[in-house]
Amino acid sequence: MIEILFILSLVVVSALLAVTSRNIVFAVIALLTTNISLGVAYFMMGAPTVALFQLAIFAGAVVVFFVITVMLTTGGDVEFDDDSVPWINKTTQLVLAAASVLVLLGVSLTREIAFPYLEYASSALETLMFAPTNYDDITTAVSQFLWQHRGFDLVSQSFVVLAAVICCIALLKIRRDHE
Amino acid sequence: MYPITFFIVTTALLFVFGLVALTIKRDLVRLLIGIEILFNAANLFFVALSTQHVGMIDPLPQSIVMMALVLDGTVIAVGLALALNVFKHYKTFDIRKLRRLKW
Amino acid sequence: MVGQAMIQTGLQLPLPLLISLIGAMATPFIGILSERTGMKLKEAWFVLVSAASLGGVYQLYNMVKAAPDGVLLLYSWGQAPPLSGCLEIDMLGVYMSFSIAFLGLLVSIYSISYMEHETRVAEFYTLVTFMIAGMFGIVFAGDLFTLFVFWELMGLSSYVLVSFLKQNWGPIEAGFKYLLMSATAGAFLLLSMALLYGLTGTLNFGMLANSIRGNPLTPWTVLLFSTLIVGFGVKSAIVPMHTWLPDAHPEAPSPISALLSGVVIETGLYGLTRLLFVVFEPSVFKLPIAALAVLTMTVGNLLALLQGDLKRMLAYSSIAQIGYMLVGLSAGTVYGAQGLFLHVFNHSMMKGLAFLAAGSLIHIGNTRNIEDLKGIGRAMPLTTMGLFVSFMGLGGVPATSGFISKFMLFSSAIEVGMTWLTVIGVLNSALSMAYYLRVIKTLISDPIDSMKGLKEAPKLMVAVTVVMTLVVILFGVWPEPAVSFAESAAEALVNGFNAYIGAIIG
Repeated sequence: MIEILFILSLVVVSALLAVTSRNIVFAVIALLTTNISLGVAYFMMGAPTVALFQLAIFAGAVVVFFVITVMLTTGGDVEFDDDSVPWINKTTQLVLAAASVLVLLGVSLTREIAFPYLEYASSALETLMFAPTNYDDITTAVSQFLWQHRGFDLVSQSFVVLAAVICCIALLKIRRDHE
Repeated sequence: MYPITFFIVTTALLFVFGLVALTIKRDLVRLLIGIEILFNAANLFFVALSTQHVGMIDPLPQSIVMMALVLDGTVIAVGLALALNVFKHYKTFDIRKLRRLKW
Repeated sequence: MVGQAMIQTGLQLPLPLLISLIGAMATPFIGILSERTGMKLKEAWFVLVSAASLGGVYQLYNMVKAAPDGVLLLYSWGQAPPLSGCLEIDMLGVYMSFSIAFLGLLVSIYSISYMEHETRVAEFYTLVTFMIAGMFGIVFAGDLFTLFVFWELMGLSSYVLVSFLKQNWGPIEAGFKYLLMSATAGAFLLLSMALLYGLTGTLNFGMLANSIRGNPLTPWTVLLFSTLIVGFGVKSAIVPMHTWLPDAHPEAPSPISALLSGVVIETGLYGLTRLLFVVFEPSVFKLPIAALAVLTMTVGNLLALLQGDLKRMLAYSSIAQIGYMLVGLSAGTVYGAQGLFLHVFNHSMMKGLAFLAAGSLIHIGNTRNIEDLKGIGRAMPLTTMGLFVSFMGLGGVPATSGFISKFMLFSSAIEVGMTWLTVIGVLNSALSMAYYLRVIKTLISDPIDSMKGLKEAPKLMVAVTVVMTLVVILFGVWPEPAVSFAESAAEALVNGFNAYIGAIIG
């Protein structure tokens, strides 16, 4: 019980640091921490394949894109200091982080927010819920489900990725005019 | 497996952080970081729903989140390519300088 | 094993979607081929794909009419709903896809001559075809995540198409703001998907209609409603989530502005309509949508009065027209929905015509400022006539198609007892004629020096303008086909739940 709360508070604190840090490179590192902690949290919650995708895409590819963009353009220089909210300094960040962790722990451990889970489910609902015995079961079942029941979305998603590649080509192409 | 209260509170906090980043901050890369935090919050809530029945796992939300992760990654990649173009024109990432298009 | 069984049972896709996707995949290669040989292959391929999609829509119309109960359920590789993604096509889907395909064909012919002297034209055609394919996917979707995948396809293509002329700063700034707001809406859409899944255990539209519809409101349902409004509202430009539109539509190239104003925001509105009718009963969302309608109409019309830029004025006018369509949505009856969808088609024709005619004027006149275009109407009579007819239609003058759909929208509000909404709507319509007539007066007055000696626009652009003018007038004096088509679409949406659910469950 307490380990998931520890990971979730790490997620919250690093997200806060990603938003409030002055230096943009620190913010990207904090984003990386957020994504890795979320990946670990997904694993602990019982979703190992989702954790794999999170660590590979969000904590891998996307953060690398961020670092490349920041370094190629401003070069990590602190010249443009994001001082839109000038009263955020290190002590305020610490106070805000402590406050968010306190809110998280306080509300989670004392109150209970009830979610009406499956309250409106129809009687004809089909579901493939199962009781796993170890992580292998979950991995196999989720991968099988993905291909056996969501194949159409997977193929459509590959078209989205193709469109994104053509988008990036159209945005970044340099063509010198041939006279 | 774990009570859903934990995840509801975390999702709400992450949503607040993401929206605050989008409204207050002015560095373009920080705005994209805010969007990424919003996506993470939505995915966390979805995955939390897959483990709600005691002792059972629901594979549908996990599959949806896997595909949503890929789609969100592509959106952020195109956003970064646009941010590179902004830098080429304006030589800065400051969104307050992008106010040339007014009323 | 499993893979072989998948390949053997085959891929069932509706023809417009299949043609657009395959056509978009092939366009880069045809572009390379066209550069090697020097022939205009990619333009011909682009128009061919658009025309074939329109033919596919006709075939789909026949298939849906012949299907039992008027609902066609397509799923691939034997993966049956409600656990898998599916395409559930009823008459409403066919109607929306007809609007999309028709405007797509006209815009593709126009953009051949508009984009003649630009670079990266092959990428342009690819992205336009992907955007149209995404729109087809949205109107055919039967599952909320399938809709989301095609939503992102349409969105990604449109972000880059808005910022296509990247050598100027305007499109880049507009494209980035559009991306920011639209990606945030995507996150809200994912959250609404999560809430719906948690409440009902499914994401399939038919199964959702069987589950949550007709239940009283709780705090969680209100949260679901708000996230749905934000998620779909940014793309449909509902005030206060409209602020990307007045920047994005003017800065985009004119054929893209026509597509954006004509079909993309209407597809966003289709998504909102479908979700609201499937998840809630009409009495639940009557008042909130009516309030949003008043806000959207008023803000759109008032801000359009202040504009000096021709395309920016047309963009604010689009926001106002979405407000009128929301009036039809808030009525919640078949008549209201019929007015909504008829106005979707008419608006795509009229606003598309307005943006294409404005594009021709700006192409020749080299400025977007209305005052600086003074007198260009004398040199370009056909284009200005097209602009005039589109303005008459947008304002709701009789003998144009706009009058009929506006009449339906406002009278449907009276039917459900919201007469105040009709009064505000009619006042807004009258107000809009003020800024339309001001533009026409400026365009046909005596030309200033820079507007003398100009010639008419290239032939293809003028031809498309004339064809669209004729369509607007034709459907104004002979509205029966459009009205009955819209009526069958509205029937399928509002009353067709048994058929919709029966295709999934029964």
